Amino acid sequence: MEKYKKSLIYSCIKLAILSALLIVVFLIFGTTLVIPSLPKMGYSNKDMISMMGGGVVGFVAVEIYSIVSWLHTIKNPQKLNAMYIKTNDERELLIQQKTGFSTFVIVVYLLLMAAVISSRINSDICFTLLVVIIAMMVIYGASNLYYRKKF
Amino acid sequence: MHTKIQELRKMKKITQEELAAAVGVSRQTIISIENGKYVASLILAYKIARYFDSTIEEIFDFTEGETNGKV
Repeated sequence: MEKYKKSLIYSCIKLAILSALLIVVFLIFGTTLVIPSLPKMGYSNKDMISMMGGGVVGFVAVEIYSIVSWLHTIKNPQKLNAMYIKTNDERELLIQQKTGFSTFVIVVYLLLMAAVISSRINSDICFTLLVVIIAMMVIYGASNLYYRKKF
Repeated sequence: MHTKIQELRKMKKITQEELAAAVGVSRQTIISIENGKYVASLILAYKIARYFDSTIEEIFDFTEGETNGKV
């Protein structure tokens, strides 16, 4: 259980660093980035910044909530044990693996369909979707290779 | 997969919750194993067998080709 406690503390640190990084990236790039195609789409750069800001605030709020709840759990042995079983239960892990893979396949197919449909409406959207699909495939391939070497 | 877990559990008057806590899984996992919906891993099978002072072969009736299904 001590090992799990340590891994939870590391996860809290990782989340805190990620949140800080996200805020820094948003402050540096989000506020200075000017997207030329925005006015054509009926948005101003200010609209985009406030939308992105809202997303960042929401994401960081969820991360802070997770950190606080994990730190609270670490102090309570009963809650910690329940959380350990919940996160390490082998049936739960199997369900997560299966849902993760099938979700990935469905999302790729849906994005492909959307890319084909959007190619007739707007080539920019089609191109963006294709880049997203390629990025997903590359990340999938890289993580697959990593786990093949690991196990 | 057919198992004798339910039988052994009732003999020893142990609840699913107690067994789950002892072997470090959720109650739902024990229910699924007892119903034959989920095939326990070797580690979990070993823990269950050890809990009942028995062997894996005595508790789990393994038939070739049984897995937790394809993705």
